[in-house]
Amino acid sequence: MKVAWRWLQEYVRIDMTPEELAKFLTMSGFAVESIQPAGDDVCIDIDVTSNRADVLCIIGLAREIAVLTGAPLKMPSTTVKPDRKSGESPLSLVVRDQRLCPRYIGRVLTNVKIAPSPSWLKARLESVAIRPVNNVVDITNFVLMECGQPLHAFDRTLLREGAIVVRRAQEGEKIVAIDGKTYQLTPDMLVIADAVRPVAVAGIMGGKESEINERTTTIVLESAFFDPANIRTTSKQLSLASDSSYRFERGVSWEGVAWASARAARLIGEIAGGRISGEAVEDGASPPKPVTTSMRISRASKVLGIELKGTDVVKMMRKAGFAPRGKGDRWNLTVPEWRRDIRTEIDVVEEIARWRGYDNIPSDCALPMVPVLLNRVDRIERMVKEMLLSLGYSEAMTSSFAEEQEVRNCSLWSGEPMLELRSPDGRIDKRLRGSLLPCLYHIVRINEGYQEDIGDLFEIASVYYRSDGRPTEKKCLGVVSREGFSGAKGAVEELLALLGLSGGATFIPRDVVGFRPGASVAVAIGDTTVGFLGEVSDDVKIFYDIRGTIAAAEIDMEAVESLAAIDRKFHMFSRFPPMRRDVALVVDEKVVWAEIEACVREVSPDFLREIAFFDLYRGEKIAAGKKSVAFSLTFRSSERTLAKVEVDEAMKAVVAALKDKLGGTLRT
Amino acid sequence: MDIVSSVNGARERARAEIQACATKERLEEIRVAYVGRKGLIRDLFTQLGQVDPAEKGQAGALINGLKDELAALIDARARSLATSTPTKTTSSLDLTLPGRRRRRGRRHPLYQTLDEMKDIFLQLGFEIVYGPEIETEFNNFEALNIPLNHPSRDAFDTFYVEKGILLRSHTSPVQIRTMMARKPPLRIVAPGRVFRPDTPDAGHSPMFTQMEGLMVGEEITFAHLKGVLEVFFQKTFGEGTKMRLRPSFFPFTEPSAEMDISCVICGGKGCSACKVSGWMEIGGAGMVHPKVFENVGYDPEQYTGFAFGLGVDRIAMLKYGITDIRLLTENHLRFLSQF
Repeated sequence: MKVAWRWLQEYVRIDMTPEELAKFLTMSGFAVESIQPAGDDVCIDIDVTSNRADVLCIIGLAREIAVLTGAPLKMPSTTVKPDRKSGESPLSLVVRDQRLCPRYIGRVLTNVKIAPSPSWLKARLESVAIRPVNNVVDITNFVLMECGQPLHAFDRTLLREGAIVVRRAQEGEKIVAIDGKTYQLTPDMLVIADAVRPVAVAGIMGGKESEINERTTTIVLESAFFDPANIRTTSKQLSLASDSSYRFERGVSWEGVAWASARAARLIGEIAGGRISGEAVEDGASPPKPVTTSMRISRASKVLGIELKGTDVVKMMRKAGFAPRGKGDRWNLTVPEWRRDIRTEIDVVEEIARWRGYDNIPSDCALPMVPVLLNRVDRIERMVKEMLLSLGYSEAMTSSFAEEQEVRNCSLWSGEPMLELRSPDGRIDKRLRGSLLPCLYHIVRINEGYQEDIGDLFEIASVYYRSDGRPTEKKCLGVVSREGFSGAKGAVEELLALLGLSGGATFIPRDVVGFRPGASVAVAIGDTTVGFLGEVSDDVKIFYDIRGTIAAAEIDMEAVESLAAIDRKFHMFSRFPPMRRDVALVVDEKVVWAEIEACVREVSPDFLREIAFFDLYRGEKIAAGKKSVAFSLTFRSSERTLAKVEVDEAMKAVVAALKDKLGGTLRT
Repeated sequence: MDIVSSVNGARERARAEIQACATKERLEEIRVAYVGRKGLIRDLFTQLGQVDPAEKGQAGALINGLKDELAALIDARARSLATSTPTKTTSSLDLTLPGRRRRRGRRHPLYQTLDEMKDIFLQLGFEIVYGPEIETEFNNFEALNIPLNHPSRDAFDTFYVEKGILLRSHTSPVQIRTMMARKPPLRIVAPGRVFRPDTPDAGHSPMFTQMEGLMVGEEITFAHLKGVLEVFFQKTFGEGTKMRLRPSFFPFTEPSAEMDISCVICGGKGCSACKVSGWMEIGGAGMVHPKVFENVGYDPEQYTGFAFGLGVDRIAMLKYGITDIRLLTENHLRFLSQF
């Protein structure tokens, strides 16, 4: 909201430069966004929070400054002299819906001469960036800026029967507003109507037909209080807002309705030659009862953490118009009618803090000591991240949103369609990603586009999908390896080993969306599927324009965290030396490693400690349809040094079993 | 030929040759000649076939014994050669060549900053808790004293997933969940992603990360709020960092405040980064509104508390001097490799 430094000083003395005033206002709760020269004056743009509608005007701000500095507030005169002999018929005014319009004041002014405003008035409006139009419109804008009460002036001759009816719109009614557009009205909307049809969307915008023009001589001046919630709803439904609706939404001052009507009438009389015809006509509900609240000074001290002197507090409350009654700790207050933000004790506590100055409340960092540890989930996450970093995987942070075109963002965990997001304007133009992997592929693509090799990536973040119809999220680990399937599998194996889960983990071949058929597995711990892993499919690679090997895995971190065993316990290790034997086994292509390993284990004694695959060879020296699988066997006993013959025996059994069961022969 | 004398003869010759050997290459030649696949020992084994069956066992043992002995001698010689002769490489080592660097995985600066923030609050006794990103309208608004049809709603535009379910626009709903699940006193921080339909630019993104703080007890005051925040900012931005609270409005706190810190670029003197004011906005805070306590079943007479919300992206950007929030989700190598 814009205010002007000189204009303010008509209502309160300010011994501050514009810059000093800006700092003062910022520290009082009205952040200054900018200070600009505006003609003769200085325009200060302040941010008024939605709870302080009373400060959406010059006098409101002046009043606040008066309370905070102690300077007196100077209010302009609003005395008016109605002309009882004008001959003009009195205004017929009916308010049909008193809940939506509890107060309406109409004034008729005759003899008005529409002309450009005097230069002082133009200057005032320009100092707050309002374009002058003509004297009557300018006066209504001036009074709006001055006291925050929106006013509207109708040309009375353009109102059928010169009457005003405040009612709900009827089904099918419409209006051409002063912005030239036609608006369809519904019965939840309040309109100002004449005897026949709507002439204004109440509180939001006047109609074009009854607008003030150069030939206007008789006007009806409207000043009213409209129900804030209703104005807000109508404004949103019509997508139509104005300086007026902005203030009505936040609630105007009851007293201000009358004050502004008189003030504007007086100015129209002074400037536009208008004569006030008769008394103001009013309709509506009875005035609201004054709001009272009680407060305890001790409560303010307790919440703020400072010692407050009762007399100081009471003095400020009196200055601010709260009419404090009571003694000692407890006081009863009457909330000034324009302070719609103050309803209970805690609101007064905030006022006290503001009067005192937030920077005058000292800080206290003495807190009771409390033992707190990083929780298990965080510990596990840190372990996992450290491990991946040490393997050379870099951490990415990707957006939770999925682009429209990337339908491959579907979840690996659910077959239901992606979750769509509706923006405030009603459009659906974003979705939530169902998987981390496309986001990581996208990062690879961006970097390749810049000819950068980003290497291997990981991220721990949420994926979103529908589960049994309900929107759900799941924290997952996404991993992308440029070393292909074995690279990604290696990372997953390290993860499982780190968390003590290797024992129960299995990799089950399964076709998974987004991975090459026959090149993917589901990762399970016991009966629970905790992830998927595979070579990225060709069409995904083409879509992301990724060349070269790439494999990925997505792991359910929530499941893994709940199953993880991270407590480390030492076990004495064997000091006896191991004996290693390498085997190069020629087998049919269709024989898989798991079969070889199982076969070896089955015939091996306890002191076979490790079977480690290290090479796969196909080529000239190997018969067609066969491959050579090389692995090493490590034998070690925890009780003694093994004798060579024991190992030789074991090897004999292994070689025999491999031949019998798998048709494998030693490579020569 | 007599195996025994062959073995003894071989032993004598080998010993002499090994003793006389002066280079690794020569030692390798010796090894191949005696213990290699086509070496002398193998020959001797082959000759075993012609030996009398009764003596085969003894002869075999002799040959094996020789094999082990030679292997040990060669080993010992190899060790003494290595320690006594400085290794003369055929090509000299260029000491100025860059080292072979392994590819180091990089931490993302936002998650790094978040971990540092968590650690600071852990030291102050705050527990870390988490809440869902997909939230109920109730937890995001009504429970926090934000009525649904009210101008104060305008500051909290959101994405809706379906009726009554949205993406949280701040981390404050975790206050509600935590207070509904436990009794006071409590001291928690709750970090996580939040979503607002903001137009993206260098300073705004529709998705960002916040950290909520909440402390509730019988004697918690506004002064404590100030104290905790001051400690946090000094630890994050340096000892000389100043913080101020100035009045503002949030429906879920009363008194409410905006937090500013002294500009991290100019130290408070005034520059373009802080719009000459010397201060930078960093988040919101205040004393928990009694209505919020009522909504979660805490007695507002007995308990008071403070809450604050910090923008993690903003803090990361100020710490590292990152100029555009969109860089955080682009993950360009030349960005990540700086951290």
